[in-house]
Amino acid sequence: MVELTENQIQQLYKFTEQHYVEWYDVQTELVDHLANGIEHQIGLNPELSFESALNNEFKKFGVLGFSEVVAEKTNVLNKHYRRLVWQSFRAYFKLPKILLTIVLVLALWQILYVSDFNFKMFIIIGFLIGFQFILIRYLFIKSRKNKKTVKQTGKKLLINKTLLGLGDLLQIANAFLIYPISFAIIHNSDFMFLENPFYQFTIAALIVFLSITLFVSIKVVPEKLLQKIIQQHPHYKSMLL
Amino acid sequence: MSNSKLYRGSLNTIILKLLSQHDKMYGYEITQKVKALTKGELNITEGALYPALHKLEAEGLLDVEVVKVDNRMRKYYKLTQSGTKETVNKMEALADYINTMQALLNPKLA
Repeated sequence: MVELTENQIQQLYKFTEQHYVEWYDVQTELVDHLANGIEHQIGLNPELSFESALNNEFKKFGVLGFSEVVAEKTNVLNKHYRRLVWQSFRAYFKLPKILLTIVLVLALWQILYVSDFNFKMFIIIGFLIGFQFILIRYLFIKSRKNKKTVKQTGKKLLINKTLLGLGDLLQIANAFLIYPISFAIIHNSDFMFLENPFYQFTIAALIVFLSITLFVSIKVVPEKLLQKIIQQHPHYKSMLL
Repeated sequence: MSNSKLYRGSLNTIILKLLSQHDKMYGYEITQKVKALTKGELNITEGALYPALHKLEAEGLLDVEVVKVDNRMRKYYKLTQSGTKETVNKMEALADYINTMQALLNPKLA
């Protein structure tokens, strides 16, 4: 059995990079696959050059090359992230955590109910700004760390990109929350509905749900995910966020 | 492979079934195994295999183990507990499908 040299393995990494696979975690699997195929071919036909064998293997990926693998993997990781968020979120609506959720909603509702109009606005806007601040701070710290590890190791991980995008939750939050809320604020000078207890309850519940979502998205899920990745890929440890 | 469209719907089942018969397998090994078992009739395309593996992994049906082999990293896949259960379901569904097709296409055999 022919065995590829370390140098040839490095050439394969470069080859995947040249074919638009920039993520080390995706490259690694493709490199092993190509290497196996090349070794197999050269084993059958020792006259075959490494380059032609590589060419033959790459052709098997079809006209789209590696792009389908990369696109699908990106998609799968984002979905996985969101599924973990949803799982952790749901835990707050089951015993025992649901008790905490109920207490928080009722407490906030009471505060909104008893406070005067200005203080209500202060609380709501305070929460909105608070959410933004926490999120931006998290992303800032993480992306700085990401830049540093990429610089140190020279390797980019797709899993890190997923963590930085919160599994595409950011885009979803923008589309369904930030834009509608901003729109409502700009086009509604009158916030009299805040005096209605039903709306007060709805707002209290929304704020609590958003807080839970934010907490699980930037704290619970990343920790869970990283723990699993380190267990599966111990050598990624120094490259992870 | 001439009937790729017919086989494509069963790719997940094929992968799960193979993994249920082996402790752990890596991508290339799966393509070679399928080729050998079907005597070259079915050739899983690389562009379809890896997306399928990644999807099954994200669904929690497969677990991953990365091992250094020779001078490179190799990613092995194996069934999780729910993967083992799902294999049974998928095999039953496929058997039903085959029976139904047989009844339709070749009533005498069914």
